[in-house]
Amino acid sequence: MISSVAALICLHGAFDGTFPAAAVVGRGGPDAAWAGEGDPLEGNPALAAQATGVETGAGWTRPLGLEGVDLSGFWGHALASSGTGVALRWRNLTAADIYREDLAALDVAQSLGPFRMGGGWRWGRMEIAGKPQGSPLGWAAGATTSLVGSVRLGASWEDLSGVRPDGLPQPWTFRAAAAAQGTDSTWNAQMGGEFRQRGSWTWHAGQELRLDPLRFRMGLRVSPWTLCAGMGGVWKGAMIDYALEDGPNLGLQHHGTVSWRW
Amino acid sequence: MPAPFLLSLLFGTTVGPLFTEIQADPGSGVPEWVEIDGLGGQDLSGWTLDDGSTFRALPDRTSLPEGGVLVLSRDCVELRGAWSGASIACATTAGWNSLSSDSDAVVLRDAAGVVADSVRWNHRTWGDWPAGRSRERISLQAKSCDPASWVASTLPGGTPGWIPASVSPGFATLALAPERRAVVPGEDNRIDLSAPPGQRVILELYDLSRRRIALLWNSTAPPEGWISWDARAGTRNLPPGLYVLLARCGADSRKAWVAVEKP
Repeated sequence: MISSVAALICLHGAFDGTFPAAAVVGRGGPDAAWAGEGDPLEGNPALAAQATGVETGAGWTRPLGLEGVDLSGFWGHALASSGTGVALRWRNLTAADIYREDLAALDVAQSLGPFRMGGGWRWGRMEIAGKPQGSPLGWAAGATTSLVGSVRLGASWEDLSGVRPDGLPQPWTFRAAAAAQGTDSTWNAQMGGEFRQRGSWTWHAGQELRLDPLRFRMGLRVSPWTLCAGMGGVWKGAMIDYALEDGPNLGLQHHGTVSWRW
Repeated sequence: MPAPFLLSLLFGTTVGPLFTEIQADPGSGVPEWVEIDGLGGQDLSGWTLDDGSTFRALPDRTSLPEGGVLVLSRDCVELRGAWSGASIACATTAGWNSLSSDSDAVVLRDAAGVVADSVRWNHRTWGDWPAGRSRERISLQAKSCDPASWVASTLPGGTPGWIPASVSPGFATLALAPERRAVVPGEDNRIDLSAPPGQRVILELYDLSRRRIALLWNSTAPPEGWISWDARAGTRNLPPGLYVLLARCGADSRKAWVAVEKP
């Protein structure tokens, strides 16, 4: 029987990975400091008070090209004139008819001067071969600021360790990031890190270039190394985005997203 | 091999070997060949291979090897030579009807002349076939004459004598049978793992974020064609979730997902 293995890293099998949003993946991953187009705002609840207007979208990917495995999700977020923003996300991962996990999130955020602060609720469920494995419950909080010109800073905390009779506690996650946007809004650069409980830091950096009606994105994640690239198009508020990510060993992964912004 | 065995248990009949790979365009210096897969030890004396018209007998006392996979070729020595002397289980068929990559057929019949398996291909329905690539059957349950049942081999020249992961779970280089996709820590979970004879195969476990979690195997392929895994990483149970098994052999690699349950 095989049980002796190499050194272990942090282990969190379920509810891992990012939301299937091509625009976000193309920039290297969810960011805690900046809310872009086609962004489900996964990186920081405070971003609900930064994303302008009303946006909805849906995304899909086949994780690592694995036959029978699908990751899909949809989101919506809106910002009121009072500076209060609300964001809702849901994602679903299935593998044939054997594995299923769902994760839902609701965030509320408020602008206060140069700061935006938000909090949110998280709920998930997982079942394998029809047997429920548990339902993690948790919360998130975060803040961003744009104190320095067009540079934004952000940090967030997400904890899915809520204990219930059928709970499935997950590691907590801390994110911190910085983002800069060109004064003519034609480009954006971001860099951030993520630390998960019992794990280590992972880093990402990305760049988006906006030449209407097209969007071009490049990103890099470290540990493990993953190169991301994507592009999108915008037409009267409708957006179509595609992203490709590639890393050693496990190969390509494609992401597709459609979204609408009012 | 389990599939014909299970089928025979289910239906109470003897299920003959099936074609699993056909190489009609091997390139110069390499003989054409077909690969069949069935129940190890089955006697094939008196069986014939034909293209629908000209019948060629399999050598007397031919039987399927322990693993169930046998290659039939005009010249087994030449074939093994083209694969660096690999110990491919092969039977030389007296005479050989040259196969056309565009349009042809192979038929396997038992000693009574009953068709055990038959595959016909033509350019109109199968389309252009990549030069030098064999036809690999994706599953032993897939219909023999359906073009959708066959894919071009990943490796140039094909994989004579071993079953790549593109085919059905239970027969692959890396596979978990559907009922074994959900594994429980602490229990014996079987992973079918095979590779070309003598070659090193590496089996690793990853999460969906591409993080490498464990090294499960790093040696020549297990002689029995599978390993037993307790779904643990060291002494720790894996958290419930979806993981990826990656088998690597030379430049070739295969992936399969596995769901780990609560212990």
